[in-house]
Amino acid sequence: MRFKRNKSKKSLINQANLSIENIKSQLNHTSDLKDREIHSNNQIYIILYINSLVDQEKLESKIIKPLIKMENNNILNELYSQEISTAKSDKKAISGLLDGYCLLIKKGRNNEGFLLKTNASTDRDVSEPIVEKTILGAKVGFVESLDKNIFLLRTLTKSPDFTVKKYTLGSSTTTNVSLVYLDHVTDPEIIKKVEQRIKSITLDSIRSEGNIQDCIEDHTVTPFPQLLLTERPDRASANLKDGRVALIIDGSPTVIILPATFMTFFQTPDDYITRWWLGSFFRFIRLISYIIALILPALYIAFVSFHYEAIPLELVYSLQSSLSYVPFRPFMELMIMQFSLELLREASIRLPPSVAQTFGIVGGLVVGTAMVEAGIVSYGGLIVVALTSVSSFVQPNLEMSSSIRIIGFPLMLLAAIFGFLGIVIGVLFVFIHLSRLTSFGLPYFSPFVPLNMEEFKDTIIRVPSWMMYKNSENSPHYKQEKRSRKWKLDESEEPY
Amino acid sequence: MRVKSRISSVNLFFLLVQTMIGVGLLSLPHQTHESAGSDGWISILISGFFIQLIVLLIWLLCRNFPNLTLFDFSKVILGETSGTVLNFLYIIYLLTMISYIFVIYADTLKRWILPETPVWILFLIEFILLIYGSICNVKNLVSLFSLLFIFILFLFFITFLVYGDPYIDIRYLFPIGSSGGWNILKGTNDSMISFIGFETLLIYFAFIKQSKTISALKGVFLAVLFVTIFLTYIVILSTVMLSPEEIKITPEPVLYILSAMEIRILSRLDLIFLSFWGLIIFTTIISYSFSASMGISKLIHIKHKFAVILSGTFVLIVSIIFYYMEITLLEKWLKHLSLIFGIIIPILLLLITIIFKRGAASTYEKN
Repeated sequence: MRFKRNKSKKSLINQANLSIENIKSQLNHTSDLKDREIHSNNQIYIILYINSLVDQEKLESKIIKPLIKMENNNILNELYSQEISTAKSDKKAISGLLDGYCLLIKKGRNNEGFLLKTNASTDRDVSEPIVEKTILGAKVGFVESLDKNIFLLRTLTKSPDFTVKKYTLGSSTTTNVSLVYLDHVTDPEIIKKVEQRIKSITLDSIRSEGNIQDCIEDHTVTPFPQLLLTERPDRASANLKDGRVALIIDGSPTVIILPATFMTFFQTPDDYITRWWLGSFFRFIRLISYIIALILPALYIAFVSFHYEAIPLELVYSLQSSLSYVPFRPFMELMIMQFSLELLREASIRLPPSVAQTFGIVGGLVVGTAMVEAGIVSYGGLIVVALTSVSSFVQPNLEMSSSIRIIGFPLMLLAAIFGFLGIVIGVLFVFIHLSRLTSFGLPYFSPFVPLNMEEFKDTIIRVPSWMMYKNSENSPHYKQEKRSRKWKLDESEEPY
Repeated sequence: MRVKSRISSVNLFFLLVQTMIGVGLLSLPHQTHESAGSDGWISILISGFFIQLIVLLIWLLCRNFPNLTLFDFSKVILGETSGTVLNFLYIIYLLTMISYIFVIYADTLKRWILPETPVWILFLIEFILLIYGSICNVKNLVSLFSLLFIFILFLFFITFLVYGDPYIDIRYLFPIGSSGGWNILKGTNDSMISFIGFETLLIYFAFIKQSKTISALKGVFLAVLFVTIFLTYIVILSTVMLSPEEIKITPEPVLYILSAMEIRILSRLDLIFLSFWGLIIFTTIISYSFSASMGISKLIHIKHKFAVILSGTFVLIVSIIFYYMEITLLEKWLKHLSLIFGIIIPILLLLITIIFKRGAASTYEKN
């Protein structure tokens, strides 16, 4: 008796009774939900699919046609679909339907359901990335399709360690997210953390990577980004090889790289393509420009309004001659300039490229010169603002260069109130703040603090690649050989 | 004590250097010159050597109590009541030290950069930075201090610019030892206060990995060595640049030298020096207030956050009082207090530990 009950329970779990009516009503009898009945081999099959998500031709030639011509009832052997899985519950069947699968139901005492892959795709072709331009790097950018993005990453990272984990996020509308990393290279601790944080996302719907970023980053009250957004597969692949994790979101051409430390935002693919002298030089320029963009306006204000005795006399005279016509204090003067610059920047994004150029000339040159001649700003202020904005454009990462703007204004204000001391206070605040930032448990200034000489090789300068060997313990598969230039020893000749 | 985040020997180097290099830097050449004349640098070297010994003694004391700070093991050594009293005294000492730094910092700023700013604004800024900087764990402290270490190097570089000066005269240093041995030793006594900051080791040793091995001491030795060299360099520089009569009347010789210098694009190097020096001062303040707050939170069992606010408020009030009172009085006290709390009490504690065989087997040794 007991045995029997057990058996019946087991069969119930194995072959859940799919109710077509239930599925239909759960999908609100939407009009693009189609069904078709096929009689084959004395068996009734019902195919259920959402018309707009399914590739019609695939469905006809690979599912319906073989089904009609079928000689025995073994579905798994007769259909030409790449992916067949059994749908054990209505819920699973519905989520499959929404992903573009078609649901094949074998009618009987228990309705057996199979999900067959027939989804249509409207991928655009791979094109050159727009924001992250390089001179010599690959001309390939990510696209909006999850599978294609994984394909792009895989072709650049051929390794058996390449691991993809899929997640479906969102409670009312769902979005597929893939976690990609190289097993054995990435710190398992980080993978665990990322998985845990992704699983804890309970958002209603995922609109963009910003939603995910908000949910998983360590610190939200900070202008500094802790995740790297990139649209370049080569950059993402290089980061994977460095032991980072990529998060790909379906429908977005931007991939999240984590954990990202401060120096990550100053690396570009170009650094590794050119020879190491050039690569190091460019990176150094970027760092310097970051500091310039951050404190130059504040320095100008401090010098002009407090410590004019600190600048040489000749410079004082020339600054004075243009400043004396300006009715505003230096702080106001710079604020006006910065604000109009922000306007120009924002406007040029919205304009079509052909107009933007003209606009840049009119807005930048004409307005700038006119402002100085009208005595609204001084030459000194104009130079400072121009240099600042040029320096901020040097930054390879958009979010990092935005942090300059956010910190820059309070720093200017402090400089206007306390002069040099104000800058010191502001800088100290930023330093204290930075020393507390972490990205997935990794300190933000990671190679410097805590000091790690081995990681130092790819930070302020990029050392030549034959010196970039790593012997870290958690990457046994990727121990780089120390001597790539052994040939030099063989070829070298004694002078006599 | 349950140690959540541990630091390495290298981290300890940064912690200690940043705590030790501080407010004494500016007036040090003046002070050593008063007692030891042109041989002030010898006094610094001697006291540097002396401090190495003290640091060794502190390590010998602390290695008996792994994972315990001064505030924990004082109770083990002296018993509950007298241990608590000692902790209280240490907290008061640390807070007074911060107040002294507060006053000196505000005073220097007022005289050199901001002559018309009311002093309470400066105190308020210091107060805010103290609170913002001290609410953290040791790891954050280490991160901050190692980041700011670059500014100590900047201080070095700024002084290099001085060598273009035509008035530099190396003969001011000679004859070496002319002030006599006794005077040099007296100078040692005076210069000891510039090394103050090493007593925070009594707290930081608890956080270090493998505090029993000699490698823990390496960072400390290097730190003291670095500070000794840095201070000696500053003293020699001032002695060489200024004639003995000039040093006598300049309370902050380094700043005077720098303010006289003029390089092509910048007329006031002292401004830059003071700014960087300000950053270095704050690391000292933060380090002290972190230690003091830790003591307070252990003493009256409150959260670290509230302890920091409490100590910050105390320091603010005390420093305002001292600013309007006579600052030299505080200076004189602190010279003796730092000798007592930095050197004598640790030695006494060590003696008691050895004689009465006190020790604590820590339960958290293995992590």
